[in-house]
Amino acid sequence: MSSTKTISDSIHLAVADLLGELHAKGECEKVGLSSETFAAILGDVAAKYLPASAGKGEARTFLISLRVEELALARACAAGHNTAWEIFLTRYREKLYLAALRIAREDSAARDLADSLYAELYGTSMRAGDRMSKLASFTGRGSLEGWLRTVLAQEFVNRYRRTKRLVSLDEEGEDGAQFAAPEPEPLPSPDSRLEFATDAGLAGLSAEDRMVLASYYLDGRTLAEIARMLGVHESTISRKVDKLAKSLRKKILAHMIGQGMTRRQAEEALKTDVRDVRIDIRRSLTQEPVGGTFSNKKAREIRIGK
Amino acid sequence: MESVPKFVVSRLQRTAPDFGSHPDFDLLTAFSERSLGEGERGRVMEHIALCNDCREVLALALPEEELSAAVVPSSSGRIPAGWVGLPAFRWAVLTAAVAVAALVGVRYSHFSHSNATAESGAIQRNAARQESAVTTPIIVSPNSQSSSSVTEGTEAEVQSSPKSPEREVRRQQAAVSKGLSSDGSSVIAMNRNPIIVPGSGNNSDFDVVKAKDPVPSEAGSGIPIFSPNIPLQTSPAMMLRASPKWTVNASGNLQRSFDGGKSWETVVPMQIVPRQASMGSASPASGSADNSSEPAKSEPASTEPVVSKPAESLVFHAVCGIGSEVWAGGVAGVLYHSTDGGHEWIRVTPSDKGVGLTGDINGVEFLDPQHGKISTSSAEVWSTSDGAHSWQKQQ
Repeated sequence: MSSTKTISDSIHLAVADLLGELHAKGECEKVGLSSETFAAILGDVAAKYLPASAGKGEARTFLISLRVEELALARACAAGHNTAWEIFLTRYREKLYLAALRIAREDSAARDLADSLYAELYGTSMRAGDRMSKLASFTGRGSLEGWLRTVLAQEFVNRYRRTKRLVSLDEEGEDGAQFAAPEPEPLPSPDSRLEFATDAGLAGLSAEDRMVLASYYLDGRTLAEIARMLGVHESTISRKVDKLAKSLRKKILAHMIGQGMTRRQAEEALKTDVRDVRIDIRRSLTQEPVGGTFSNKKAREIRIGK
Repeated sequence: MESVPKFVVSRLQRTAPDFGSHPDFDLLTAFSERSLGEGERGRVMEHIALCNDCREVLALALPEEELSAAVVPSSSGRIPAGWVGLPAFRWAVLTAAVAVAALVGVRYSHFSHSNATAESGAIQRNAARQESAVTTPIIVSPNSQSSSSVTEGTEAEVQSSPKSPEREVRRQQAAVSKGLSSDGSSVIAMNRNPIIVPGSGNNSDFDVVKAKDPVPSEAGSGIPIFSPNIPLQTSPAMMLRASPKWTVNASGNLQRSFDGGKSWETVVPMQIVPRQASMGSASPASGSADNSSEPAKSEPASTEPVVSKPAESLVFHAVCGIGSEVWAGGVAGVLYHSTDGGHEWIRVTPSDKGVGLTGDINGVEFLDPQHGKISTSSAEVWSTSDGAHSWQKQQ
């Protein structure tokens, strides 16, 4: 795989400095990768993620942080080295299936999912006479095992979407979709001050706070899941959700009161039914509807409807 | 748990932007594994906060069990240690552990002697099992409802409870499929928790945790027998637990959770000293002085079970668990390895060409049971590719 980005001089220098060390650390000889090939791979990876203005020191730090052994293994597999494939299969075959089983929750679906990934990893499609292996896109920023799980998860999401578009008429009938009323024309907001105050409150949140809120209230994730996604303790997330909900409510109320509403009016406005609020169709359509993902709908309904 | 108004949730949903592109798989993986720099992590976080697709992929891609538990710096004080973390209490735990080990040794010695002189080995073993079922209270510790106690977010967990049973069953099924607890012996072996201090100091009530005497082995097999007649140390639900989550608290205590992190119990590794220990460079005991205090050591060795003995006062900095395999490292290069989910431990002393590890172990990372790395306060990195039998010091 060659990068479309130009490899800067500082990256070249850093790669040249570290090549011997990283080549040995990555056990490249064992999987059949020459120094030259590995240097090209390192240069491509660094050029992909580092800004053009990055200095040699930054490039060195970046290269040292890579998981070079797994990078070498993946790229050697992509290049079709048999030894590399033997190592890969020994290390990851069982894990890949278990990860697929955890995602798909059903044995045959899991095998199907894992098999489809194997096909992509091996590279069944051809471009300019070369096999295109998905492993050629692994860059060693994280673990190869984690990368494989992420690829599996994305494939599962894609499959879910594809099958969702092909729902049978019977299933639609069971869901009541055939008899669904046409979407009503969006109503104007009862009070634009509420929207403004809410948007201001949400805009004031940090990305992590917003992610936590969205994961908990929109996606229906458990505290434990969010904690694992962020690599913190569950109780930290519990405290954060509680604190965020309280502070957000306070901010919105204060904002509305600041705009001339009485406290009672502001609190009444906060209780506005979602159906009365104008819906931004364009923006909503940029994402899957809230109820349409994989999360447990029931749990979310219970939580939001509380 | 505080709820937010419906209106806020609807606004939270509708502010999803038009995405140019999603972070690639490598960035999502590195984000999940916390290996991105501040700037990159911030940018990915900005995206994930607004993109439910990527949040979905991240959540689906979470490992079955955490590969490496969060390491809490001892100076952070983020987890309140409470009176459990007091030095006096730690010494009390250590003293109790020593007392139990001595009792275990005496009882085991008695059993071995009677077993050797009996005409029928089977009868003797049965008698010994009954005797060994007598429990010895060793620790009065907080939390009478450790399996159900949640320090915070109780309401939230109740709200999300529809997911929990299904997940628990799936987790256990997965564990069984991996052979972690499918056999009776390994499940029952959980009863042999050496010393467990439930809770993390946030609880007010008390519980008596009991430890059992070691159980004799099948003659000739060298494998300890665990009679199903032995009363359970805890509830039946605990017997089904498998693949705990691991962490190190602010006091440097090793902790594990069997309920996805809702409640934690402190584990003090009880070292296992095989009769004829041989594990490559892995050192079975911390020192010869420890071995000398072991009464059963003089007995015929070949068919007898391993003997638990308390480890020295330990302060851990890092732990890594993969299924039933657990590695924990800490002050003075202490590294312990358990292959059964933390019930039995072997001290491992990494060395390479006669050179030993120096400094405190600050990081332990295993990708699988065979391949792992440890890093030390003296900037050393040691790696193994054969399950800690041999180590290589990286230059």
